Amino acid sequence: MIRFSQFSFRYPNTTSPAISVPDLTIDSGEFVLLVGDTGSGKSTFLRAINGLVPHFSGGVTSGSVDVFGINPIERRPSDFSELIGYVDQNPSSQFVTDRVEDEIAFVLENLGYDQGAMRRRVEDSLDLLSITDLRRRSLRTLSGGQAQRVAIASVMAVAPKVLLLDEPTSALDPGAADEVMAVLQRLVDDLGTTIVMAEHRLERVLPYIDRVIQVTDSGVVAETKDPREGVTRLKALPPVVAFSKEYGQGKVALSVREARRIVTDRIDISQLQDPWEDERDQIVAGELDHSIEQVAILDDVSIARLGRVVLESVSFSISQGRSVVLMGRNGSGKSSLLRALAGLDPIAAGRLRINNLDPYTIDAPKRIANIGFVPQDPGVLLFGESVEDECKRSDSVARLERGTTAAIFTRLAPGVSLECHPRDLSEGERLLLAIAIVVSPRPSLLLLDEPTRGLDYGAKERLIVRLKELQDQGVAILMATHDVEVAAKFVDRVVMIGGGSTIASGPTRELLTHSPLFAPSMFKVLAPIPVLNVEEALFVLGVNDDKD
Amino acid sequence: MSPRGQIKYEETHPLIWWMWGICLSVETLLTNNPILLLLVGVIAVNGGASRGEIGVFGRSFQMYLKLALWVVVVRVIFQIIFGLRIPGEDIFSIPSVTFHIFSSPISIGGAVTSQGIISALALGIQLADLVLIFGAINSMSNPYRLLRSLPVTFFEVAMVLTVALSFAPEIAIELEGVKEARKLRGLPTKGVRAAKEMALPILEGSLERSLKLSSSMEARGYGIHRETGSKLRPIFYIALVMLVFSSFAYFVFAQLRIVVSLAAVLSFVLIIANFASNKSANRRSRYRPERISKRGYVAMAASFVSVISLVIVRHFGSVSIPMVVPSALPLAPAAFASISISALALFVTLPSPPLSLEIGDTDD
Repeated sequence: MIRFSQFSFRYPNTTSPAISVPDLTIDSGEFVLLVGDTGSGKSTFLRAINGLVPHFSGGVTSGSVDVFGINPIERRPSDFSELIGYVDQNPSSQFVTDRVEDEIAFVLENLGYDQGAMRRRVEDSLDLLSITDLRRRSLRTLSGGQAQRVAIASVMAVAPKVLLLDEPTSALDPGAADEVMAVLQRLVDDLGTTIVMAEHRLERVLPYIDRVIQVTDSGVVAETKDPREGVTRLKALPPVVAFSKEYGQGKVALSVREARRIVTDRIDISQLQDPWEDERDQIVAGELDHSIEQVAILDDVSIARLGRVVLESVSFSISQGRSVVLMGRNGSGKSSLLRALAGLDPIAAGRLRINNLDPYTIDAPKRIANIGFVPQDPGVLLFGESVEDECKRSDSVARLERGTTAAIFTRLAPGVSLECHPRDLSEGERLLLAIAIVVSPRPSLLLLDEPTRGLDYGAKERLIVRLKELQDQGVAILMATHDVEVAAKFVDRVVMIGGGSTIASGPTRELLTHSPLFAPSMFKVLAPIPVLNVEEALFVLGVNDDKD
Repeated sequence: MSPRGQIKYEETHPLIWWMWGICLSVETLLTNNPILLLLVGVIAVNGGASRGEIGVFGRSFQMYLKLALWVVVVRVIFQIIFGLRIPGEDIFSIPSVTFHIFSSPISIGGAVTSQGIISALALGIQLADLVLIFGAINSMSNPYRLLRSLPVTFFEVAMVLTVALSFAPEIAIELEGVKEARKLRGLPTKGVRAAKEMALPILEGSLERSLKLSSSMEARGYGIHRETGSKLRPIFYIALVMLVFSSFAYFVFAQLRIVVSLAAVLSFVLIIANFASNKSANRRSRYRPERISKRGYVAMAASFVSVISLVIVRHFGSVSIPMVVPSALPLAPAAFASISISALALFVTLPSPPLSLEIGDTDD
């Protein structure tokens, strides 16, 4: 049992508490979801449970915390390593060794498990997260999603009583995310593990959880007994919930199955008209329209990383003002492709042109006008002393009017002080700042690597609006993401890669509704009608008149 | 399984490279003959280049290489401007100024002699060699693997060592990241101003990484058995400090060598005793422990033989050049041969596998 009473914590040199927990109890064996806006203090709350706050953060605590009879403020975090497993938001930063197997065995070694037990535990963890083929890989060669799974495996190895997970599925492809959720479910059911998880992608996790704990913007942590009630209190809702709230007449669905039942109770889905039936041929014709200027052209491109070919003969192009999303399993080479397009790495073979320039040899002033790239870890783009400093620098490099970047940032992340040090921003806010900096010179091609990681629905919404605006201004967007809901909202085309080459490429509606794994949740509810988002679903059901 | 002609790989135990490096460092300190010192430098660079890890750890070696060059250049410049006026053949002369501080004359500038330059070069190369050796070990033995090989009794030391040793490679990683980021943001990556702007984020980034590393180690139970055997802990630390000091003192205070050696031996015994008495607390187990291969043992033997033979050679004849000797440099063939033995370690071991290969299999 985890019990907080009158607990509050503030970081050094601040006056208001980062989090305050008046009274909260998490029972043993509960699966609890922690929700709250980007930057509200979810990570701080998790770290307070295993003592990393305040032991590794400094700052002042008051009140008491009790985790299975231990007070984390008084004891050191290593004393709970058998009791609590903690997975950081940025998994590769928590690696201690350099090989997958060793990383998983690390905690077992420290706790003195004997050889036999250790071997079994390592094998179990590898199997649980389906990473047996990665076992001898160097940690530095893993992709973001692979690293995430290794990080989870490395704390699961001791089968801790409590698992603290900070955005565990944000870097995972939909298939892997489902697998991880199934594993967590099994831990709760079979072993009675208590899981506290912070997650923004609610559509993935809602069906599994027992209870919602909400962290408000001012850092107050409050619980709701019923997940349905807790979810509807949120400012922005996941698609299934939003849909059922609108359509279900008071009933709230947490899963696709529940939403489907709400629909089938009222109508027969097979009787519905598919409004896109005639449109398909037109879209295909539109694809062949060469009158629009091509911003990026990839012709038979091969990409190698560390001497190994990761992608072979990839060919596609992106037209002005169009958006393309790049999808594929974890480690399929999405990031490598984006890095090549951004000109960070040379390509191994083929032809790659952005506005008829070779991105690898492009010079600095031309670069920002042609290519904007937001990498998976956006923090690397930031090195100023304050948000304002970053924005000013961006304005001066791109010769923009003063305050342009700051204005873009404020629209993306309202309410964040410009005096903040970028390091003190949450992961999500840092991402928005990086995006603001990159889009301010209005590059003709915008490359985004997992841009919705760590963003709440509201922030995602604001980001999509901004991206659509850019698109209207003629910016071509290429985004690598696992977030099908975002892809379904505004992307024109999807390119799927896997097994080292392109698997499919085509209009979003067609591609996303053909793959059960990558299908958006609204399509799952109304299949076979190819709806992509809530508005379309309501339109098909006759509730909403507006198709777009 | 591997077809003929394919390169073979093997990971050498990190401690082997540490032994190798320590032996080379001792050799460096035993001589001031520039020819011998250059030989040590060549061996170290070879080690870093041929047996170092490919990738980030390898790239951090390039930083050490640049640093070593700087050390030599700065040392020679200092000699020219401020150095002691060693008598000998004048090469050129710079204007000299003499100050009187507390009535003792201090002069700057003056005649520069070839002897002066040679001795400055020798001292510069000596220091540069140490930098190179450290850099080579750093790229040859991954600190994260070293951490797993150290007994948990030394957990604080091991933790500090790991964090400290991974700092240079982390800086190399950060440097690359910051350079890329500046490229993406259209900022210059070369020039003094860029360097100034890049220094802080690089330092910040690698410090942050070090902090994260230690908190992550803590959260996963590293050093959990610290309470056991804590009574003997102070003795362990005193012995450790004593060992460090006596190894310095050995080279600095020539007249105290016997006392210093005794102190070193005593502290070594204390550390071992502490380790042995703490065996029950040493409950940390090993998953696939790193084993020292046959090649590793041969490499270690080569390092030891090299040092011992150099000590013997030194006992029978000089391997050093006196400060004021003729400009002709003694070649010292016996010493040259002894030092060369340590290069054997590089020939008998195999390169570590490249990152893209899964360790243990050579077919991709």
